[in-house]
Amino acid sequence: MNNLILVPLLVPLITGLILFFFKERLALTRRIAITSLAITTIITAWLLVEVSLNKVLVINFGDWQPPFGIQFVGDELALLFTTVSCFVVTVIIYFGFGKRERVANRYFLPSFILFLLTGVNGSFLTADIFNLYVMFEIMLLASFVLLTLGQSIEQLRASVIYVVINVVSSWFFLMGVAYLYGTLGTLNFGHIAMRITESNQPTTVTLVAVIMIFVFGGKAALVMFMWLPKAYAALNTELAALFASLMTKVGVYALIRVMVLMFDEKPEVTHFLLYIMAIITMIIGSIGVLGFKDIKKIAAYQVILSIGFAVLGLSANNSDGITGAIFYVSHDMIIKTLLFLIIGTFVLLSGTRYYDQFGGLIKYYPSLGIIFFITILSIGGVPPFSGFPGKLLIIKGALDNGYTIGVIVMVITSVIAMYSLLRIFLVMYFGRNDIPKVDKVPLSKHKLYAMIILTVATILLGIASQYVLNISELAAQFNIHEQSYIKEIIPNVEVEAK
Amino acid sequence: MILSKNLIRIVIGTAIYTHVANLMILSMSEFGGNNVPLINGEGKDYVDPLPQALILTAIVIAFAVTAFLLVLIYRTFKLTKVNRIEALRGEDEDVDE
Repeated sequence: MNNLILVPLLVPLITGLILFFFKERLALTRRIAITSLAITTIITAWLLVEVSLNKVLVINFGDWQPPFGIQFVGDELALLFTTVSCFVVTVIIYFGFGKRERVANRYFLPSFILFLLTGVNGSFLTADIFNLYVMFEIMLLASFVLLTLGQSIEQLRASVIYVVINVVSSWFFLMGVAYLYGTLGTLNFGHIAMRITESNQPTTVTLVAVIMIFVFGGKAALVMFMWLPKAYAALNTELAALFASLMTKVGVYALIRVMVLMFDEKPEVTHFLLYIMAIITMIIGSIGVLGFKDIKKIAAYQVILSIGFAVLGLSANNSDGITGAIFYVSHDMIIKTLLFLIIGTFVLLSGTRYYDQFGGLIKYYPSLGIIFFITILSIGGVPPFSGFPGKLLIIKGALDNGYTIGVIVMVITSVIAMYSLLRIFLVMYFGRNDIPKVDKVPLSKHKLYAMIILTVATILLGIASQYVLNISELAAQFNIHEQSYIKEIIPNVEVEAK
Repeated sequence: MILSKNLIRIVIGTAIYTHVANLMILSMSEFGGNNVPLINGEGKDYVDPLPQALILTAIVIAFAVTAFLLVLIYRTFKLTKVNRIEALRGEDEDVDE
């Protein structure tokens, strides 16, 4: 039973390796990948339900007793994110691969998407900070490859910057780990949390916390956002969706885990810093969505904006805010995938990346329009859809903590986000139709189905929000009350301490 | 080095960074002994094995990343015939750089 939490790590890895052998048979690889991912999604979802009803799953590798060995911990937070990310990747692979590229460039795509997922799931599940670093690197290397496959000049331009920035931030991460080990003498999440509480968080630990904020903030595009729009705009549709839904969210996950569980003794320094960064991020994001006419860039800035929301909830440092942030991130993975798929389809259909050069899509693709409209409402946080409960809780949490300015900024930027998308919608759908290159490009069935699946998912998440909120709440509680975490994860150490 | 304009120099800069991090981890070892960390009954004064394990992993990762970066800039050089970072700024770019 406990071993099952390795499924989301091992299945993508092994499937990815197997797919190398079938690289020339794209249809077959696609089928294998979808099947194995669908099974993984179902298993993780089942584990999530199990865990939320019973107790947390823990596995000690090589049977080394914690805190010495590497641990994998399947708590609600980890499993919720794992489930959503597996689901999203399944849909993205179902959506299919880019049409514009030459076939040779597509040989290894499914494999590396699966390796990326391995790294992502590993980061969610691990309970060891150095192992988190390793998983980050797996994820990053896979993403470097995905970014550069195809070798167009635009991709190479974006990727040099992306790679160098990530190498530097990994370096900071490693330095943070080194300082942490030097101060506390441990790397296990639970054990770190325990020792920080015991030592009453000396200045060095706060310093480490600030380093961690910058590292994960860099990955999550919090303030340090320069690399993101360029890299995302260079990717083709499904890879952009993949990056948008997973890469930044892993950074946010790491922030949630690290800040809530471990570095929570000096919120006036660390969480205030997060608060300021969240506000700056939201403002940057809203300027970005308004300032560009390139719809791919607008979508990329939407990602930045939503990171700002989630981190605002996290910085509130109370149960409501963190629950909201967790819920919002899982909603955001789905909705940002959908947004990027739609935007990519628009680019494919209209042949341009600038929304003001095309209009009148409503005549040809009404169903796509409905999906896009639902997406807009969901991103804006209109009640029946999934954006609403998360935002509500984030606002409530932030208000409880007296972060009025943050809430005001958040509400305004939400409206701006919705406005910028509505503008695209109105112009592209109802705008003047005098530049018609309309020899209607057929919209393939499976692309439409993939988008419909995601739309249904966002509606379901909105309707069944109470259930998901319960899970998020459990996840938040489990990490806020570090005693419960320590008791579940490292029982033997706790006994020794007494 | 990492701030210089030559792409090769940037790669060397990142390589130096990783060495710094490795030495940093090594200096964080706890016990400060000289013996091999083997459980042989007389286990006193042995070195802390954990940082060494961490460094080994970090070296492998850094090796992979550096190799990838070198290939990347080689391809970039082949395609664009430049090895200066400012030449990689896109023509359609905006003021945010």
